Parts: sequence; structure tokens; C-alpha cells
Amino acid sequence: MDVINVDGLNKFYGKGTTQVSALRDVSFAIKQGEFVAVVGASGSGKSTLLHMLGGLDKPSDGYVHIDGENLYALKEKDRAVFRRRKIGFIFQSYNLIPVLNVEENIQLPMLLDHRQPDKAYISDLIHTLGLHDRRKHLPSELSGGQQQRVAIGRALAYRPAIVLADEPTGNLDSANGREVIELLKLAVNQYHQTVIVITHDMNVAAEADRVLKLQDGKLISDTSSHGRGV
Amino acid sequence: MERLEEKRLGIYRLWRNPSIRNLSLVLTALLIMAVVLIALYSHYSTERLKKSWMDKEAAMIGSLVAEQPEWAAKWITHLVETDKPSPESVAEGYKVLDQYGLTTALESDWFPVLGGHQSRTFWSLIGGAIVFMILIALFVFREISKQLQRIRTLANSLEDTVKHNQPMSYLVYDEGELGLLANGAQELTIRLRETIEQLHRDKAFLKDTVSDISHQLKTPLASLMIYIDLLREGNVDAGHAAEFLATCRRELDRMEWLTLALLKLARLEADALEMSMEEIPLADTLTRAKDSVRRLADDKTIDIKIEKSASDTSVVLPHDSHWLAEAFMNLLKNAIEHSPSGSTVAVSLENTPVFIRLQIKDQGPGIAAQHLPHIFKKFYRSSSEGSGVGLGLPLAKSIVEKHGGVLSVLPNPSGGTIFNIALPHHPFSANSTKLTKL
Repeated sequence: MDVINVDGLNKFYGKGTTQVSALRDVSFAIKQGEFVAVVGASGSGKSTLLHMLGGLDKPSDGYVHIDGENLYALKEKDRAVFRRRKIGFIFQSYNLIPVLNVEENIQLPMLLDHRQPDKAYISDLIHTLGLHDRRKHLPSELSGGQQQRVAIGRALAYRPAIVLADEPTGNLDSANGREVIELLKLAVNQYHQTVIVITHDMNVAAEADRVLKLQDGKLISDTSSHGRGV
Repeated sequence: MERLEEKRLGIYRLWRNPSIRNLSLVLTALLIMAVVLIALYSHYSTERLKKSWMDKEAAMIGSLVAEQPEWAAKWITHLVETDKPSPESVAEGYKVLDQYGLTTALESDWFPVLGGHQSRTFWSLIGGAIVFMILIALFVFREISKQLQRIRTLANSLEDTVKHNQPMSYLVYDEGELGLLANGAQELTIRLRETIEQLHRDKAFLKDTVSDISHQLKTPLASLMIYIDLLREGNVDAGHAAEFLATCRRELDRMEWLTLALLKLARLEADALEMSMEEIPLADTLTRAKDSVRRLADDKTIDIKIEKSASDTSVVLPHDSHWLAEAFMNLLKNAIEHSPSGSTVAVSLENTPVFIRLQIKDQGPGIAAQHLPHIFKKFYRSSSEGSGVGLGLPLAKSIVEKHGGVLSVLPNPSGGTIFNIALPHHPFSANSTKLTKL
């Protein structure tokens, strides 16, 4: 089933003659459990697209349907709750809360929702991420690779159906980058999650089930989804 | 799986409910309104009482002035006197009043000025209270019925979902308890749909497997029949007969391998198999796999080089040695088949905090980009080379995934192919496979 359906998405910045279009008439559908890479040069609209998929930025025109729900028909407040519960974000710069330790950072989405995190699952997750020895450390005491693993943990804490990653390997060396991608693939395999990764790294793109290529805000190629087996 | 923080709803949790917030707002507004109205009314009522009393006094003085002007002057002096009257004069006064039937026991209604005031106050306050009660009741009812309406819509949408197997049409992304309930209901329906879809997939999988097996076995069976018929007819010379028999034997071997591989794959993919995980050195499993392809490698004079990192027996990982050896064996076999004679297949191991990563590198021609997305599909063959029928790689992938790992193929900048097996030290536990879905 299609988890994400993007239809005629446009995004303009500015007005009149100074108008810049970041996205032009982008349409595609993504199935559940797909590992999708979005590639393109800087300024091709990759990040804008990811922000629209995550409900972070309103499109000028067009729709984003997530499992049939029109994301931008929701009220801003409801969209925030939707985002917190359904979508995991991973950023290039990790964006961890510096005063919270590893464990607290990972549980943050649930704590924001005033839910008691499932202790067994969180502990399992921390073990899988190889962070057990570091669970009481602050982000500043961790290496880049470790910080990004914490961010992955945070994105997976709610076991969201969709994980959006913006250049997750951008600040990492190739070994750590490989690890991040393998962890994301693990999530796809284990939880049948849908992962969308923005990347410059062709090695990352090569691992994806499907590659969407953007150029000047247009979708110029979409390696036909051959689908993951069941 | 996520529990609510506490059994009883604390004030803060309660406050997250939009209905509670609305209700508090309305009640506060009503309270303020009531205070203002009470202030206005008490002011008005006092003014009115003052006026009636003054009228009464004025009338008295008016009539006294006409009859007894000096008494009137005395009356006024007493009226405006600010000193407290002496108890004796009060008592004396009451005695006189008593003679005219004016006692404190007399009903207030019978008093001239006071009479109207009491009933007026009574009815005004009763009326005001009723109006306020009605207003409060209206707002509370409206808020409750709004909530009930939402629950009703949720129930209807849940029913539709269950009956027609559709996505929930009514989604609530609210803070508060109703939002959590709706979220839970939605997850439930998604799981239901997932399960139904899984059933369909299983059915399709069974169909595919059956058609795969029959398709793959039909051709060798047909040729076997032809050879056997020819041999039975007897007009074949001894040399040809021996050749036919050898072909039959080869076809049978192939069929046996095919059947076994397909059965293994089917059992793996149907999740009908439990891995028996043991904490043993990965190097042992690797050696086991290497031994089973030794003959194949020797035939092509290919050296399987297990690098030092990969022969380290201190690297221990819980795994099913039998099955993982099968996966390694298939990957090694694939590497050998695609390597030129005399080349090397290298196996290296890397131990990171998250994964144990094994890489199998060959010096073959590599895999063209257009084949990469398909090589793990059953019966997919990128070239006519190799004896395989395209089951080895899917089998390896299934086994690695059964171990919670990832099998991927990496382009090797220096030529050849690298198969990358990443096995997590702590795989996600299988019983927590459910995710918070859309």
C-alpha cells in the first residue's frame, strides 16, 4: 500500500519577478517498507521536499497524503502531534538536546507526548545501537557517529511508520556513514518502516530500493521501484 | 505498548484535553459575568431601598410639618443624629411600637418599605441562579455532546474500517485522552490491515513457490523422460547410453539441489523456521562454509583468503552456525563462480560497536548497475556464467535477515564485487516488531 502520495507539489519563495520555485510539480508515491534515496545537486529542492513530506513547511500548491490523510488539511497543532507520533527525523547535524543524556534524548518524543516509554523496547534499541555503555553520557561526550546513532534512536523511539533523514551521513566518515545506512536498513527490514534519505553520497543511493533524482525542483528520474520482497 | 504515565489523571494531563480547557474557559467567563451582575444588582437594589425609605420618611415629615412643625424639626434632628441611640430610648420605642403591633416577630412582608424589597430580592436571585444554571448546563452538555459525537464518529469509522478493510476515515491528532484513544484505535486498524495484507502476501507467496517449483522442475523432468524413453527403446549404442545416463545423473543432481534450495528458501521466507542461536565464534562458521566450497575453489584454482581479522576466534556472535554457514557458502560459491581462474576471494571482518561486518571480495568482472537491484530476487541471473539457478543469493539474504542483519552488495572501486554482511551484536528483538504506524 502507498504510504506517501505526493501530488503536483509546488513551492515558491518570494513574489512576482523575484519569485523562486524550489519545487515544481513533483508527484510520486512511496510504498510501505521502501528505502528511498533522494539525490540531486545543492539547491535542487531535496530538503524542501523532505520538509513538505514531514509537515514542516507548507507547499504553495499540491498535496501530500500520508496513508490517505491530507497532511496540510490538518490544523497546525494537530500536524505537530501527527509529526511527533508518525514521523522520525534524522538530520545532518544530529540536533540532539545538549543537556539531556543519551537515554533521555532517545525517549524525548515519547516524553513530549507524556507517555511512559516502553522500557524494554528502549533498552533493546540502545543495545542495538551499541550505545549501552554510553547511555548516561551527554551528546558532547560522544563522537559524531555515536551522536548520529542517538539521533537514529530518537527517530525510532516511537517506531514511526516513516523515517525522514536529511543527509544523515553528511558529517560522518565513510565507516560511520555505512553504519548509519545499515541501521536504517535494519529498521526497514525489522519494522517494515518507510525510510526516505536525502543524500549526496552515491554509495548511500546505491543501497536504496529506489532513487528519486531532483534537478531545479523537478523530479527528473525515478528508478522504477522494483519493490522489496515480502 | 506505551502506557499512560499514571493511573489517575493529574491536573496537568487533564489540562491537555481541549474539552477541559474549553469548559474551564467558559466556566470562568460565566463566573466573571455572575460577579459583575451580582455587583450591579446589589447596587441597584440598595439604591431602590434607599429611595423607598427616603420617600417614606419624606412623606412622614411632610405631613408632620403641616400639623406639628416643631415636632417635625425634632424628628429630623433625631433622624440625622449620628450618635448611637441610647439603649433605653430604643427599648422605650419598641414598647410603643409594640402597642401598634409592630414587632420584630412580624413578617417582613408586612413592613411597609421592606416588604417589597424582600420578595424582589428573592425572585431576582432565584431567577438569576436559574439562568446561570441553565447556561452552565448548556455549555457542559454542549461540550460533552461534542466529545460523544467525536467518539461516535470514531466508533463509526472504526466499524467501517473493520467491515470494509479500509483506512480509518476519521483521524484525530489531538492532545489529550481522546487523541490517545483515537491513535490507539488507528494503530489497531492498521495492524488489522497489515495482518490481512500479510495473509494475502502469504497466499501469493505460496502460489509463487508452487509455480517456481513446478516451473523449475518441469524442464529437467521432461528431458529425463526423453532420455529414459530412448534408453528403454534399446536402439542406442553403449557409448551414447553411458552419456545419456551421465546426463540423467546430472539433471537429477541439479533437481535435488534445486528442490532442497527451494525448500530451504520457502521455509525461511514463510518464517516456518526457528534459528537455534548459539554464542560461538564467527570464524568457526566461516571455516565451515569455506570447507564446503573447497572443491569448487580448487577446481578453478581460486584461493579463498580468510583475512586475519576474520579468523579471530574471539569474535563471538549469537547465531545459527548451520544456517549462517549456508549463507556464507552461497556467497562464496557465487564469488568463486564469477571469479577468473587463479584469482583470490578475500574475506575480511570488521567489528564495530553496532555490527560485525563481513565482506567477501572477489576479483571478477563485477555486477553491472542495471542488475544490482535484482540480484537478490529468486531465479534472477545476471549472466549465463555459474551453475546456479539464482537461488543462492536470495537464500543468503533470507538467512542474514533472519539473523537481524543486512546483506548488501557494494561496488568495489578496484574492480570485482563486495558482498557486505552486517550482523548486529544486538539485533532488534523479534517480539517487538510492531511499530506505531500512521
